[in-house]
Amino acid sequence: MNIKGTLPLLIMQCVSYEAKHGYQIAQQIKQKSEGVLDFKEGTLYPTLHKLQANGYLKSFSEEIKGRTRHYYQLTSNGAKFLEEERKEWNQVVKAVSLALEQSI
Amino acid sequence: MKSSKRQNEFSHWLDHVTDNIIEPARTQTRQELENHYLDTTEEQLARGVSVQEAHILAMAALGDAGEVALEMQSVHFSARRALWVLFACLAYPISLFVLQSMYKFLSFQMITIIATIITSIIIVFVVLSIKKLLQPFHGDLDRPIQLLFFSQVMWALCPIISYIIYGELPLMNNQGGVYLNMSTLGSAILNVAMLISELLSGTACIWLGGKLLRQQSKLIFVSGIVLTIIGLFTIILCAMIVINNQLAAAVISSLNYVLVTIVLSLLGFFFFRVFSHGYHPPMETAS
Repeated sequence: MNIKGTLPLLIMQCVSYEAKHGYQIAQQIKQKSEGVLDFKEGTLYPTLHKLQANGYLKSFSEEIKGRTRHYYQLTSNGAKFLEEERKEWNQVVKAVSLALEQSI
Repeated sequence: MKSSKRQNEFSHWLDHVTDNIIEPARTQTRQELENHYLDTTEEQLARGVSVQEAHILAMAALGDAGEVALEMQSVHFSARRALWVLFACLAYPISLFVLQSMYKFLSFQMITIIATIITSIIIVFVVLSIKKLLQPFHGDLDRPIQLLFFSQVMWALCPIISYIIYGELPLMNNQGGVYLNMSTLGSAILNVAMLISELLSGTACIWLGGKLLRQQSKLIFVSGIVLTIIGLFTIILCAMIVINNQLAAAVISSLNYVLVTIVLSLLGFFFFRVFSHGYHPPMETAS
């Protein structure tokens, strides 16, 4: 399923409890959605960088086993934005469900 | 052999995605994508897939290089854009010089209109580029830039409208003297609109200049000082126009052209450095 429009929301949810790097975020989205939500993983990074540029995420680097890992975590602005986006998403889901029920 | 061929394919993919991004975003993006590729390959190998197939699956998971490159360039400042800003900064004094030498072929009004349009386009492009480069790291540049954008559009439109309707330029007589023409209602409206655009432009320059003073780059800091001076001069220019001190207004107006040339030269040099060395903002680390 194409999740391009909802990718920022899913990313922010993934890093809301602990900092994660890109691969961990991609795996968590796939695992939590039981493989339904699939996306081209290269596009994850421009989205991460955009969220960071907008102040919703912050990043830090760590050297692990000779590789430089870049971890992302939610900022307080990001937490507020996530809450708003989540509410909006729930409204959309509710509205679409209602519309589908009515058409049946 | 085959594995090395796959590694080469990935290197080409990575180059395609990151070639046009400036440092340090380029290095970070390369590290992230390389780690992602290696993680996926390792995961596939752990599942018992052959080395060759693991590389193919890892490449496929990353997606089309062109699509990722386009998205990257929409987020990060590109080296190509830095070069365009440098050209724009150089184009300003050159275009003014070329226009000055065209009095034989074009009327004074037409030359002024063309100069105004070129100046507005260059200023808006340079300022939007500063925003694109600095906003992610320093933020808070939106409002002064919006004000400057609005004032520049107004500043460029007023002479065009005035020339089309009345065959004259606002805040200017036929000899280039600066004054407030209130002879007809239409002229008065356009003259006041032009004066307001100058005031807004001056305010925006002081506001933006103040913000640039907080930047760590020395070139941007000095540009901030010059921009603030331009803003102050522009406001003084408005006051001189209102009190009809034509000589002072003409002097300040000419001085402002010189200062704009200076600030664009500084910014041109800054963007040349961005093009050649990238832009390294102060590091922010999360605890």
